[in-house]
Amino acid sequence: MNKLYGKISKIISHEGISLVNIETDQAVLGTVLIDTPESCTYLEIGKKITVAFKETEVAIGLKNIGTISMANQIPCKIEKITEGKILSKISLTCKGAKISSIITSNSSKRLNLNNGLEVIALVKANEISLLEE
Amino acid sequence: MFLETMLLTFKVAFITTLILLIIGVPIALWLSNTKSKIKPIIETIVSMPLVLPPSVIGFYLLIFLGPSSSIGTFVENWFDIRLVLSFEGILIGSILFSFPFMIHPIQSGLQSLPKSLVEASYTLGKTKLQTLFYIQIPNIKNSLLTGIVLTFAHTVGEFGVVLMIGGNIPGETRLASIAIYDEVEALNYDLASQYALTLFAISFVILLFVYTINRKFSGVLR
Amino acid sequence: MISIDIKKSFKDIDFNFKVEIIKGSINALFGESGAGKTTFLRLLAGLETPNSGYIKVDNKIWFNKKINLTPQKRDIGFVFQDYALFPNMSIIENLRFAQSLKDEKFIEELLEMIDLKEERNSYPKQLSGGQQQRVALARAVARKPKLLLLDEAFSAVDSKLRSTLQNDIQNIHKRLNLTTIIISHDIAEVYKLASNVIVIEKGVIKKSGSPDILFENSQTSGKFRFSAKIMKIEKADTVYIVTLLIQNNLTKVVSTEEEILTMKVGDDVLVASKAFNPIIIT
Repeated sequence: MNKLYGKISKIISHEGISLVNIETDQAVLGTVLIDTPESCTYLEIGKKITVAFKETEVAIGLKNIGTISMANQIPCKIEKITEGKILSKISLTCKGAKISSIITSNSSKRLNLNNGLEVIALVKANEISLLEE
Repeated sequence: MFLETMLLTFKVAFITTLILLIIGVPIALWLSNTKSKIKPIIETIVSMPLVLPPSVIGFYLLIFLGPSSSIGTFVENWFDIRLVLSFEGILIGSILFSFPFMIHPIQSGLQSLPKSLVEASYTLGKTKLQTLFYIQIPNIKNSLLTGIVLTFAHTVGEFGVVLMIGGNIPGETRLASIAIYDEVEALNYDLASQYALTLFAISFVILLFVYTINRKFSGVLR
Repeated sequence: MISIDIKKSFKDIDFNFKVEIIKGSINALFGESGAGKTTFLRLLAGLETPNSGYIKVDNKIWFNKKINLTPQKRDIGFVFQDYALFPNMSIIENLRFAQSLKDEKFIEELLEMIDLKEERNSYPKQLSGGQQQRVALARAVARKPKLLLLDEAFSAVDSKLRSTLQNDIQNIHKRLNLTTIIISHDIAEVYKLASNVIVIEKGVIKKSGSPDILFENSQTSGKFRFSAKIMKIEKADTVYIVTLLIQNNLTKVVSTEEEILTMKVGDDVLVASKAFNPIIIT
């Protein structure tokens, strides 16, 4: 599981669903939760929180991705690629943090990924979980 | 003579059992419920006849109920009843002496009933008295029967207390157990064995009857 | 409305129960065993006496400094954990005993509901555990009480019977609109029956509200969560597949090498997913 650390900077709630922004050192990440500050005590501005998302939910984009719905974009550098027959694990570094992405080996080849390449890690807002420390 | 003695014996046993049943149930109920500090004292007093020789009880009864005692005088003056060397005397002696035989089975029967039965009855709006008669007593029939039989049998077989307080007045205080002793002393073995055999037969029939009924009760309850 | 604010010291635990219960609602008492759920019901029923506080039901005082109504006067129905059916009475006699004002029509209705019309003259010991439980429920409501209290009534039954009893409670609630308090360990049951949940922890009412409060303050915001045991860890391509036992089902979850380092077979873990991911197939 990928983990980044940050604090809550914005909460918008409506009918039980909340959009929460978390400011991490790497990027501002947004997540959608079926919780509200009323039902969940750790939802408050300024609260330190861990952002977690699964490796298999991280997409890789090359620089200048242009128009895309995914707002969670983390600029990274490829540190290592572990290639399997079907899946490849892309290890990334980003301002002192390490995250990884698991994509198909086909895609890895198609994008011509290699060590040292600067890429954008993309995560959909509904794939991000919050963990209270 | 023989018939008179036998009748007297069973009369004493019957009345003793009846009176003990009436006063035994409330006492056993109290003992089974109470958290009072005096409970051990009461329990000890109830159980004393189990360990004391009958003659000790008989002796104290003579002292406390005799014509020169205040209780004896009071009862004699007001009710014209003599408490020693009389039918009333042996009745009191038998009741006191058979106390544990009635109380213990009833108390343990009540204690073995699930507490929730009584509580359920209370939550259904039933008073303590209604609960006693409709729930508790019907569900301890076995214990009641045991108490009744033990008390009855024990009273029939009692010797020491009765002799001490009642003496040996034919038709008044002479019970079968004393009569047997008497006849043997007089080398009257035929009459002694007549008493003995009758006591044996009647006791056997009563017990047989009780255990047969008891089995029927358990059939329903278990 | 039932207002409760009572304290009781009992077996080294200080119980402190403060809660308001809406008239006509079904309430689930939720909490670990030993938390004081049964004690709470017994205090409400008058089977135990609080040390201080008050119990007020529809503006009538059941308990305060001066008043302490006996269980007889509280107008309640109590379903005991051991059913407490009277062994000396048949089913119908058990039900009749519960009524001070005779209402044979209602007894017939109850017998019909609990499906024991034929067995009316049987004795409790002749019935199965589930049937006894249904009789206990019917007996508790036979005199149409104000408040129905169920003490872990369903703890010892299988899921099919449980569902039957839950339906009985719903039917009774529809028929009499009884304020009901039921002890339950089962979240599914709480959701099915209760409009309100009362959470008890270590002798104290922690919170009361809609069944959703059971999710409050959980560690992650993932709504899809289960306790699981790790059964097997295998490498597959560049990832790992972890086989998990969740209740009685085996399931597989993809994991990475770094994560595997923190796990071993036999570990108890929590499996969570965002509420957006699972798909529901009907």
